[in-house]
Amino acid sequence: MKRTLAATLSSTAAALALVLTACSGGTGSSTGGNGDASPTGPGGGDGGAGDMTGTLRVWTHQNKSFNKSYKALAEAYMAEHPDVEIQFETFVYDTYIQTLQTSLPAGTEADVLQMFGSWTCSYSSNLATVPADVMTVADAQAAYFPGPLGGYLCDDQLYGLPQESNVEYGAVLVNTDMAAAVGTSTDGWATYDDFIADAQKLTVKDGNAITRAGYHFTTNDGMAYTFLSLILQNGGSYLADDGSFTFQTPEAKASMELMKRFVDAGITDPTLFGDTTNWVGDCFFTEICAMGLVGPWVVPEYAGDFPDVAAVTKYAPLPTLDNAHFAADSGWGLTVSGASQQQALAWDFVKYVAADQANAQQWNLGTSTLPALQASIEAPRATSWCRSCPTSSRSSTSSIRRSTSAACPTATASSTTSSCRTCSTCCRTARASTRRSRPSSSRPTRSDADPCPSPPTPRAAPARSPATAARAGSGSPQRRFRKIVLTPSLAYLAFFTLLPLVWVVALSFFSYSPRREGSGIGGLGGANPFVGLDNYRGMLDNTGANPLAQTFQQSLLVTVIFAFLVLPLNLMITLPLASMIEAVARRLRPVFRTIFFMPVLTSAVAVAVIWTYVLNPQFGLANSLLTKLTGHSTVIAWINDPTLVVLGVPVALLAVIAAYLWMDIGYNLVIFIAALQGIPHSVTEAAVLDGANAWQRFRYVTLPLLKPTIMLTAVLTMISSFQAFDLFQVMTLGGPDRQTRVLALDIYENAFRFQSMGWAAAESLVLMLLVLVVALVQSRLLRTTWEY
Amino acid sequence: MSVAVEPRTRPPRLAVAGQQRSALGRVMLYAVLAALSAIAVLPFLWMVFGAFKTGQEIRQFPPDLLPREWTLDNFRTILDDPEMPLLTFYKNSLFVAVMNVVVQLFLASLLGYIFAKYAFRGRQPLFWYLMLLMMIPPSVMMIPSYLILSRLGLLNNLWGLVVTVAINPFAVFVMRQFITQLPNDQIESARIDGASEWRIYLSVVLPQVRPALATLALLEFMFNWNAYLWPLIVLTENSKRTLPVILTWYSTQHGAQLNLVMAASVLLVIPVLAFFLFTQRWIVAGLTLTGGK
Repeated sequence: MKRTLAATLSSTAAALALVLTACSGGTGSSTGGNGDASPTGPGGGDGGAGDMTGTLRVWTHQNKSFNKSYKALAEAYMAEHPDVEIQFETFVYDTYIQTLQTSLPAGTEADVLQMFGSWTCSYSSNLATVPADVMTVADAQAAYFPGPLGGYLCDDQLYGLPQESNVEYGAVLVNTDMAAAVGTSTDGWATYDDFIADAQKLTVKDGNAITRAGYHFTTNDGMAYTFLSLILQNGGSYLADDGSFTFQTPEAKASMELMKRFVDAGITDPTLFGDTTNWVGDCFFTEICAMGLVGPWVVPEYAGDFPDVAAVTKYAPLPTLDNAHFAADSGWGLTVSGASQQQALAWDFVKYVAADQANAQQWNLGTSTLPALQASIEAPRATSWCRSCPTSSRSSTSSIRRSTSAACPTATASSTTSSCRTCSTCCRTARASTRRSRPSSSRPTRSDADPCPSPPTPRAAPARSPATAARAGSGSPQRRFRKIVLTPSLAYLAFFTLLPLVWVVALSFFSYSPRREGSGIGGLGGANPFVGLDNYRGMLDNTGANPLAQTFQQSLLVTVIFAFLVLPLNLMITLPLASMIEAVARRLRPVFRTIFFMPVLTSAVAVAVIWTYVLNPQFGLANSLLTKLTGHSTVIAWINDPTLVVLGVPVALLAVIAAYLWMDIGYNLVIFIAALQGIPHSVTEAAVLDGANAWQRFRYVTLPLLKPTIMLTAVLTMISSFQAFDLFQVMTLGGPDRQTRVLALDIYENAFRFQSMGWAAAESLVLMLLVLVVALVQSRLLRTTWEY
Repeated sequence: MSVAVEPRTRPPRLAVAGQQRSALGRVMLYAVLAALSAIAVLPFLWMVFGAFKTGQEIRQFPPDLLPREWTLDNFRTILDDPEMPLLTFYKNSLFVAVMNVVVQLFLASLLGYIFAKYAFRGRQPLFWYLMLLMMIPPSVMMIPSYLILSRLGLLNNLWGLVVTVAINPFAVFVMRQFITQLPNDQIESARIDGASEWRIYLSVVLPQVRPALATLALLEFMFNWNAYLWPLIVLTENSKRTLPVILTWYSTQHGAQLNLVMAASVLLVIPVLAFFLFTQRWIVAGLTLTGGK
């Protein structure tokens, strides 16, 4: 068993073993020690193995190695239980959260649900507790590390079994080829000074621009883990006595200073190497980072796509300060739906995967995750990894205990979730390779205590509109025809347009989340209380007490700046362009028109994807052109660097505006071309005869005649730019620092990511008001009665 | 800049004068237009060339415009990827776009006909209500519409993208404008000849607004094909997704492999772009006719 273990380890880039050596101060991973039998034999489903029948649905998030390992265990389980069929459905990380949020209250989820520990308590009202015959709370506390287990304990009830401890600090990915080239260590460092010196050697610069980062840790996860771990290593604590976070300590200050030293040493650039650009996994495996801080799970995730890099990847322990502690949080595990018809089978499978030591370890090895089961580390053969430094094994364990179990005291469900979530949501998001989710997810979710939502009652089919039916007599065929068409149409309009309008207005007076089941119509009332004008009043809040208000106000400002920049720029380009195209030879006109019209025909998403690549700091067209023009390398993170500001407008916003204009000018262009063609020839000829030059003709003849068209297009352009969503959602997701978070995006995020639909409804009504007012004012300002 | 005048209607003397004056201007005009065209086309070329670069080359710094070594591997990778059943996504997109066009045009022409040719009480308020709906941002409707769909069990269902927008106020408005222009006599005489109202709608009204219908159909097809926000909300299962949504999914999943992302973009964008370019005459006609979006 031991040998297989060692072999597997080395083949999976030795990630698991090496991260453990981090706690032993850098000694080798392949230590001896003879195989001890695992406490439970493989496939140790105790009793009842034959009774299990049925189909089990399992939901997991998308992660190649995780799902491969799940499927391997499911195959083994099905081999033991021929009457059981296990079906997997996987979801992209972001989608998974959304799916859980909508499915659990509706009771449409699968039987077994993969959960991240810190999520569990917020869904606990829809989850089943672990039956005592599967595992009691006391047994679980004995079997699992408190850190991972803490996430699954809500109000002293156990809602699932953890599979991993999420420790992402302690060791770094090292590209050994790069290290060999400059002669730096691949086995660890005695002090942070040595580490920084090596990282500097590994950094490649072109002018001032970092083209290869020596050490990339500047992601949300990376910085959070570094900061918290360094506090522990400095001998401090980030938790106050009441379990809340505190950073007003000398140790926290020292940690922050050390982190600042990393950046000042020029080994990474937080704007070029962050979550949205060059996220650690991407960066390391595309070889523009020599070392990177990320959990070991990333190696199998990327090894398939980048086998060459994986072959030269090593996991090397970081130096430690006085105390060898790491901050960790809860990890992935399995829960069972409270609505499942297959609970006994579901729990049997969960137990098979997560409680059976051999299976759990197999899963941990396949996914390069740290075990949640103490037996997997504390089994004599496993501890040998850490035995060389007797205290370190203890201390790493106890720090797990300190960090998460303390952060998640066995208090009320709501306090558990909120305090846990603060540290773990920000840590978790980068996990799936979806790197776009961070900025918003670090915000605390705002739907804490869910009082057992139950499935919403299905709504009855729309009733016929009695008003119309009553009025129209059944006399003539015309009347009958009109009735046949109008009655269902009115019913439709009532149900799909009037009802939503009434609903959205109503929502805006409530604090509503679809995850809570309210008492009244449409789930309003009860757990979704009426708050009167509080949502609107909250938007005006300038005390900083309401984080949503700050985001809203900033979004509003960004939206207004965006719209007021887009409109004049658009007209300044399209009007001259239209007259220029009108001036070229007739045969060429359609060619030019087509060229500028092509982006209009392309989906905004494709435009955003293309422009993200065009603006990519290292590999993009924009910087490549600038490099050629200026002669020295330019590496500008156009859409990721919050410090770039031109005339008070963030460059990121300008970059999106550029893409937006590129996509949008075709519309107005064709409209202006058509309008120009509609101007009578006699008018322009008269101007030519009067000796007007091209500019004068444009300014004094064309422009006034186009005024009605310009007015219409101006209003339409303004309205659509107030609602711009697609480019922002795909290109920047509102970042950096919410500099490009427009209102439509804020509404979407609040409504569908954070499920605060009451607040989002109020915001959307404000947006509507804004659009209407602007349209009204604009049409007044530009009103003209000119006719020709 | 010369005057945009039909040569035949222009007096000869003026034409000569105009051409002489703008000889230099003409060169500049073409130079400026060529430069602007280059800016407009470059991002597309960047995408296409990126799709033919190797993974190694696309991550080269600084990058070149043209691939040094052209490869089709990226396309092969995507076509072989079981997570990217392109045919399914094309089918989803096609279903949503075609169903929307069919349903919306049918209802819009029917309602346009009623609004244009039938007098009934409440016609004006109802029409104004439809116009009001046109002014309401999609963000306002999306939250309650989502809640309605979730109660109808139509989330994650392609029909969910059709039922909420079956009556499109913009299309109703356009159809009403066109049908209003049709002479009443024809409708009356068909009625006297004993044609049923459905018959009149199908055989008298529809054939005469065929050009408008075709233009609207193309516009609606394009908007629905390219739509992102609403499909993003309604469709959460990968196999149900439409092309724009799947493209963002793919680009987040494989963000590190820009060559694959660009190849995916090419596969998802170019065929439809070709179709739209082929039909752009009607799309442009539709846009200018109706004032846009």
